[in-house]
Amino acid sequence: MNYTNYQCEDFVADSYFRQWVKQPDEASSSYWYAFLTAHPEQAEAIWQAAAIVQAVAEATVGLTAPANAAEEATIWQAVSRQIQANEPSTPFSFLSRYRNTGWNWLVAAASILIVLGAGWWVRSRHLPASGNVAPKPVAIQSPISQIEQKNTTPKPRLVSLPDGSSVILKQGSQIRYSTQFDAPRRIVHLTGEAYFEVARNPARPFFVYAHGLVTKVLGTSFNVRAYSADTDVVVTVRSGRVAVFTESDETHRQKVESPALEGIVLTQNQQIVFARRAVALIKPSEISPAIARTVFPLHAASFVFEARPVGEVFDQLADVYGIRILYDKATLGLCRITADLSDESLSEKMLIICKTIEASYKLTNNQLVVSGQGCRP
Amino acid sequence: MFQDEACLWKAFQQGDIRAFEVIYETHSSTLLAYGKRLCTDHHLVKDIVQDIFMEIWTRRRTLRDLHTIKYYLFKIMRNKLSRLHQKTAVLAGEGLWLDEDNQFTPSIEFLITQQETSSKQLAQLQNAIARLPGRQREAIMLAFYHDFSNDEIAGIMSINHQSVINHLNRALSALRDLFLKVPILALLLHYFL
Repeated sequence: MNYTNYQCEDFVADSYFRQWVKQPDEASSSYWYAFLTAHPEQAEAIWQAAAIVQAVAEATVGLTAPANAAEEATIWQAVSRQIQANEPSTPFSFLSRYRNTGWNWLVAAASILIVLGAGWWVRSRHLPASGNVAPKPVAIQSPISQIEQKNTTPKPRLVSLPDGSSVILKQGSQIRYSTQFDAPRRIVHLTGEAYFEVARNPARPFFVYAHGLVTKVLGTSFNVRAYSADTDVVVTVRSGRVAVFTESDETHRQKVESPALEGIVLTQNQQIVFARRAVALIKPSEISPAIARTVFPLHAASFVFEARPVGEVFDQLADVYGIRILYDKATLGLCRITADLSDESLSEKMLIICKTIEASYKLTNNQLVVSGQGCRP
Repeated sequence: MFQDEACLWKAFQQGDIRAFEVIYETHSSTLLAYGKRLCTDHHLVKDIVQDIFMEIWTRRRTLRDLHTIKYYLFKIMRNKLSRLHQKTAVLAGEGLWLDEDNQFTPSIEFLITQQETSSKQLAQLQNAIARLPGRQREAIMLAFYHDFSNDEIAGIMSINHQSVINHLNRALSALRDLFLKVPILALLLHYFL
């Protein structure tokens, strides 16, 4: 392709150019950067075209018919019935995700995944600064004191935040937050890997600061994972909306302070790469839900319960969150739960359950201990 | 369950129904969304989606890869709809089909996005895209939302490569005035420094 005479809009209309802007890979990035080096006179057109691709792509998201889970489930059931009729030998013994009501919460719950590399971060602390240095974290407020929570065990560790949000810290991870966590902004600094379930409160946005990247949500659940082998920060949204921007962003402060989600707003199944060395964000690209699910075991679970024994509910929570729940089977075993706990954080789920069965719970050493009088048959 | 797309693909070709379900889940919502933008009879679109997935299950061995599947799904969707369109146009009239003159009815999602978005430009851009003539809008959606290449768009819309580029160029020049307002410099600093 001869791009030398291309105008801005020719680039926008070009597949290979769009692919680079939306889903950059090594091949396309090296091609376009080489082209830019060879043709600096085209730089303006290219950057403008890139901005247009991003703007149009962002605009098209809102123009798509929203997903309708019930409809998709009906069609799937029809398809699988038909296959079964045509090929009776097809094994259908698996637990289809469309068969339980959990499907609904899949759509409702929003979660994001952030992959970030600790390797470079560790190096940068020991090497003298040079060239592209990590941006200085913009201090939002000088906190009176900080609470630090670490997980040095190989098992996930549950941390309850003062606002009712839950954080499940993975091995070797830590979070830090201010004692003034009730301030207008809920801020958590993360190193490592964690699953967040944020208690909904649009008036007090929730921020995760991770090695130069800021993720902002108004209240929802999301997963933050950090692989130490990676050098990029990758944010992946399961569904819902979150905003990401860099700490070095000139308008960082405005984006933090705005009541809305500003910056790059990610929606369902979108992924963004933050190149930490270059301190640059590469525009969102789509990921396959199939891939997203392999890293989101939580999505396989349903939290809609109808007259289920409380033990079963606890087992499921323990399993999904990787925690231990201790309770007296003799007293609480008869209690039953009917609730849709899809959108609540673990702390909120536990509160609702405990209210229902007139019990209380305590979090100690990664164990939830539930105690109560029990239920009459 | 499936380590990566290659595993998923292999399992699907070997007749693993779970793999098929994952593929269904990956593509059903976008395919439904695409169909509903072409035809207002949503029941018809649902039936077509069902047929299409039966078809890819039956033909799984001859399909090349996951990306091909997406292209294949969209292409059959459009073919089936336009064949039905030709058949029923006489009977049902044009109102059923979202053609050149019909505009998008904004979805709730769209309205929410508009409300939430802090950028006026984005909302204006969305409105302008919604007002584009049917085929230009379709080409824009296929290119920028569904991420198809121009060749794939040509295949899906059953037009030639140059027509795709013409549609895109016309649409882009209709949107040009809005781009002047896009804060390009800010975006640049953001993404490419």
